[in-house]
Amino acid sequence: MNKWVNALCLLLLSILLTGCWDRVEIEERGFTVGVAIDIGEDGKVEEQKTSHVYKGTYQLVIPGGLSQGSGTSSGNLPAFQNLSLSNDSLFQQIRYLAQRTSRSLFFEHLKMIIISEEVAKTPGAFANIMDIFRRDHEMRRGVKILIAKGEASDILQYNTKTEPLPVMFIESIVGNAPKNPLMLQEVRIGTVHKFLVSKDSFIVPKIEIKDGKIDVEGAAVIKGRDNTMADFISGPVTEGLNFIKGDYKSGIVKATVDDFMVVYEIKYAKSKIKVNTDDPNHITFDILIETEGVIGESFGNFNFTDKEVLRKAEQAFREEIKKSAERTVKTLQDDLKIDALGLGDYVRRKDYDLWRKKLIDNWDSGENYFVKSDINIKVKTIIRGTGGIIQNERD
Amino acid sequence: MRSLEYGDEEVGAKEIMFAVPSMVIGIGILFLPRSLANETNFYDGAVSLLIGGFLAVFFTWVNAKLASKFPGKPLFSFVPLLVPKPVVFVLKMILTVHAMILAAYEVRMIAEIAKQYLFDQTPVEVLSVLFLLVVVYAVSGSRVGILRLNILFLPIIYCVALAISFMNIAYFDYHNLFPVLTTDWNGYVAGIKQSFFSMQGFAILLFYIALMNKPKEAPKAAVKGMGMVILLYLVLFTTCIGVFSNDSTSTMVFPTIELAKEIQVPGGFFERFESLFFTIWIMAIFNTAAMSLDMTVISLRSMFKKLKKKNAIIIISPMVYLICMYPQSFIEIMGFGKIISYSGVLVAIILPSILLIIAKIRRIGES
Amino acid sequence: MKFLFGRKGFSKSQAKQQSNEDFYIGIFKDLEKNINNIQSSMHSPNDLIVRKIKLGTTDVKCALFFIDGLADSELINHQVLPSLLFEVKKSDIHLSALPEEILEVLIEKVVSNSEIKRANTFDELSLALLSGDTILLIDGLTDGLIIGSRGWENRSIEEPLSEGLIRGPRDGFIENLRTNIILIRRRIKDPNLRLTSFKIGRRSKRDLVMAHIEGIANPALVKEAKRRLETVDLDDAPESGYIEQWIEDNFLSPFPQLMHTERPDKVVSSLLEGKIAIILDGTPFVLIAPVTFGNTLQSPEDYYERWMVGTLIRILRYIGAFIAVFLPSIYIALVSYHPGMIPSKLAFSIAATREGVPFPAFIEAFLMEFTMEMLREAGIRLPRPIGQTIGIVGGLVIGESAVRAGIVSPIMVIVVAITAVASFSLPSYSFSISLRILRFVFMLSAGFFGLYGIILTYIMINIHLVNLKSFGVPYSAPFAPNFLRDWRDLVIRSPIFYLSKRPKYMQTDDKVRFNKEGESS
Repeated sequence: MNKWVNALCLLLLSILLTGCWDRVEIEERGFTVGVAIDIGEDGKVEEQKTSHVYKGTYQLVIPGGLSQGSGTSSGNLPAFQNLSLSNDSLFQQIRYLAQRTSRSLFFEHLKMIIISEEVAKTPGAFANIMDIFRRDHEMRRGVKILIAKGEASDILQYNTKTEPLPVMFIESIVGNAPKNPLMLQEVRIGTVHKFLVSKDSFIVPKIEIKDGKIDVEGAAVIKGRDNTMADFISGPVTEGLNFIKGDYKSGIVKATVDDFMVVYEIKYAKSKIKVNTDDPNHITFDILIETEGVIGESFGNFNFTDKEVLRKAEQAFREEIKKSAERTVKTLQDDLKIDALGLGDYVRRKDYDLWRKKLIDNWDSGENYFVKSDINIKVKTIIRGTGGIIQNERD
Repeated sequence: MRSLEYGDEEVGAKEIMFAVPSMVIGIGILFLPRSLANETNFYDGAVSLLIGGFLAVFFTWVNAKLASKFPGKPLFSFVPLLVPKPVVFVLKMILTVHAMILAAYEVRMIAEIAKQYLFDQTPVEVLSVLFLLVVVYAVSGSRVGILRLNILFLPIIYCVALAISFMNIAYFDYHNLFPVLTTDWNGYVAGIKQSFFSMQGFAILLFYIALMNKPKEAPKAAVKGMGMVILLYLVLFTTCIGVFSNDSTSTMVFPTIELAKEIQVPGGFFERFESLFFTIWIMAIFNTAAMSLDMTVISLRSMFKKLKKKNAIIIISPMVYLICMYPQSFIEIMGFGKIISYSGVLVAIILPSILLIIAKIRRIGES
Repeated sequence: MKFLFGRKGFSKSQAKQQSNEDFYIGIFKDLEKNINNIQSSMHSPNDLIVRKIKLGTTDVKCALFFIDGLADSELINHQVLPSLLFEVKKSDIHLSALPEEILEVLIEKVVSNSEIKRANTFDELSLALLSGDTILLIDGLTDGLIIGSRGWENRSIEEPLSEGLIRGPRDGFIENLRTNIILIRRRIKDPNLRLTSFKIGRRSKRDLVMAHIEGIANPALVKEAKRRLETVDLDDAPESGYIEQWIEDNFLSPFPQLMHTERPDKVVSSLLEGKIAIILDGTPFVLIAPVTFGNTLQSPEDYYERWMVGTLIRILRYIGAFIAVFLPSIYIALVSYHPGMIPSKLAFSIAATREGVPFPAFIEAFLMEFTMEMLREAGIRLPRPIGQTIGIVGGLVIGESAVRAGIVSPIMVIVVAITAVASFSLPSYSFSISLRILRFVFMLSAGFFGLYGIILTYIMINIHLVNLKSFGVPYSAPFAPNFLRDWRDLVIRSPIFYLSKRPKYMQTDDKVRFNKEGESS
């Protein structure tokens, strides 16, 4: 009796051994490090269920090409492979691509998603594209999103000698954002998800190939209402935006004092925003930007121990920063009419009832209370030090 | 060799203090933030959480007090003292079924989540069977062993849970928490219901306090344990809202696992923290499932006095497996969860309260 | 286990010799008959010496029996024989005196030996003879004398090979029971040290001594240990391992439930913790029971060095144990199932190096680990200088060539090497074997189910540990039934001032080692 039971158990357990369903060896996986989405050509796709066809370009790593390093003899494998496919469903693209390559696409090491401006400007397309990246469990929330001027797949082709993989190269550039205030801080899927769910407008870093070089200054403004891109803003406007939002990490401000150029190196900046909602038609925002820094470069013969000189320099910097911020406000309020500064959030927190009843659908669309509001900017600059020398020449 | 008793079979207050969180912390916490965020605005879920937690603590105390009135006697030894026989039988049936469905629910959930986050192709049946086998192995050992497993695993679970909270500090935006107290009453009440449901599990006290040497210490220890749970839930909920904001949290299936996904360990040593998180969480759910199955075995054996433990396990396990495979889709599994929540209310709340009142009125049991 | 329930002790007096020999189990009055009897009981071996003498100036015939080599001939030549031949003159012995009185006089006044005993059964005499004592039989008496004269070649006391330390005493046990006990006695001059003797083995009749300190060791433990030792019924127990396997709680467990050591200092400190020690004649390995998980990762050196050093080295050992068990399986799980968990650059380089490898990670790992195990076994068998070199060279060369041939990837070689090094950091050999077994189990479960398999197997091992008992003490003791106070000596080693209490899980009678200033015990 017992023997039968044992035998049965063993038999049943051995069924488990037929398993290893999910065992895919590491060298068989196609590590996809970057994805670029463009608008594809209509009409060639079977079972097209939506009005738009997207062309997805996937950058796969060829590990053998990576390890051989740069500079060794010819006949090497390239380090990556870009595969493109057009379909209206991204999921189907990925599946169809399995026919074209010996490796199964593997997204757990995905580093960035580049979306072309054409796609972003198509209503609803941005949110649709983001869906698979949010829903699928293979993707991580730390994947960076960029919007490309022009064709996104061109960006993936960008080849450079210092980095075998274009995506890695771009990633390291994007990672330099803290040093360059004309760039936007990296935007991850997590952040985008948050904004897509709410109706707030937001910004995404821009990337383009200008004169054969990668340029990541500037940003794209996405309107919250319909999650469609409105337009790009330039680097300097982005800088002002960073000031206002408090994302400014470090950078320089050029100003003239007594007709000589002085450069202010900002080490630390922050902003405080106060909102007054007494009159919904004229909501006022008081933005105070505070910066701390040192003198980076000075072409004139200034003696920075002199309080008067310092005061003049601080004032010059202050004006420059204020100009930059106000330019940003003007661009956003007058030209684009979109609140990319996140000011709506402050209103919501200050007076939730008002937000809920009146403003939630009309903040930067419809009646657009954002445009009607007044934004006042005040700047405070502190010069902490002057570097190694006090003066260029002795008096 | 026959083992020496040596007095090590003692179950002390510490074991109870660790047992309560081990049982309660399971699947609930993985999606609780979403339920709360759905019902309330911004951070107000915390209020519901605290009130729900307070209720849970109170009923934990009720359970512990009831069980400690009858030292050395597990639930079904003292219930007959309080209520007439046919009621006892009905109670036993309810409890057995409740515990069985609970165990099946835990197993199925684990298999589903494992399939989603760790695997792709592996069938859910296989994952469930493996997990169930390990749980069965635990239950066929000594009961004190299960309590010891709680002590072994709970610190690890707490470390990981707190780790995902603290490692997300970089993404924490405290602005997401404001404004406060903007939800209306319905929202709060719904939130209380949600949080209360996910804090269930203290019914095990009715069974395990019987093993204690000094049952008097039980209520305090149980309450302490429950307090630890509330603290953890609060920390996790705060982190979810702070990192994701209320809107996002209410759209994610498992916000807690998404928290783990957010983490980027500096230095890039560990890429996907959520696999690690989930692997450790399997231990938490294992504890819950093991204690549920233990409850089932005890209930069944109390109905059929002559049933040996080994045979009881052999009978129950396939049934649990069948129940666990019954739901066809994720929605149906959540439906199971609801059934368990409601029957849990009956078993852990209504029942012990009534019993305690009866015991107090009729002056049965030690005070 | 169960079948040993209520097994009664093996009583020596009931033993029957295989009596298809034609000798008489008894003592004759006639000396010649006795001599013939004893000789034929052993078939007249060469080393059985029979010395016939006449007591002093009398005509009393007697004979001395001893086994050359077992008995100390020096002692016999210089003490026993002279005292019987010459000293006897000093006292008055007449044949007419009662025979019993002869023996008494011999015992009290003549034989100048420190150990002397009267015996009247054949078994006693035979056993004594075979143990190295000298037997004196007198014509006309059925009683005989057993004169203690044991002395044979012994290994000298040297440092144990398997447990070397940098700092610590360098004496180790040898095969002689008496010497071993001396080594313990010299370290514990407490009259409460109790040594209980047993005779083990039907044929071999070895001496076994169980040591414990009365007043520290829990009496229930001592009683249980005695009970288990009494049930031992073997042909022979050539090594303490036999005893260990007979009396352990769970023979199916991969974990050892008794410790064994060659170091007296380890035995002594265990005794002071309330444990019992089992010393068997013929082997330098002394058993210590009960044992918990924490003990397996402890080494005496932790205590001889300062607390910081001790703590850090212990932590290193725990990490080493972790690596030794989990590293290959984590490798398999990550490479085959979850490459998302490896940092991108590392993942790419691993994939690159694995390009041409024909086997999946699981097979590769098994092959390499198996080869390592064989190399290890080979290293033990070979004579020492060759063994060491073969181990290193073999590992390196085989690994290198395998990588060149494209059978395994270089990452695998690294993993295996680190695992091997980690497993050598463990102080207890039997425990490191258990870990080796576990490593393969984990590799198997990782190969089938990745991380899920590893975690489920880990839970299963924990369940087993939690239910395992060593002589009644839960194996996972300071961890699981949570004796917080014992954590002072578990993963860390607290400064010596804080180690004033004995381990709680031993439930000793005397709880305090020493008193801190101003504290009452």
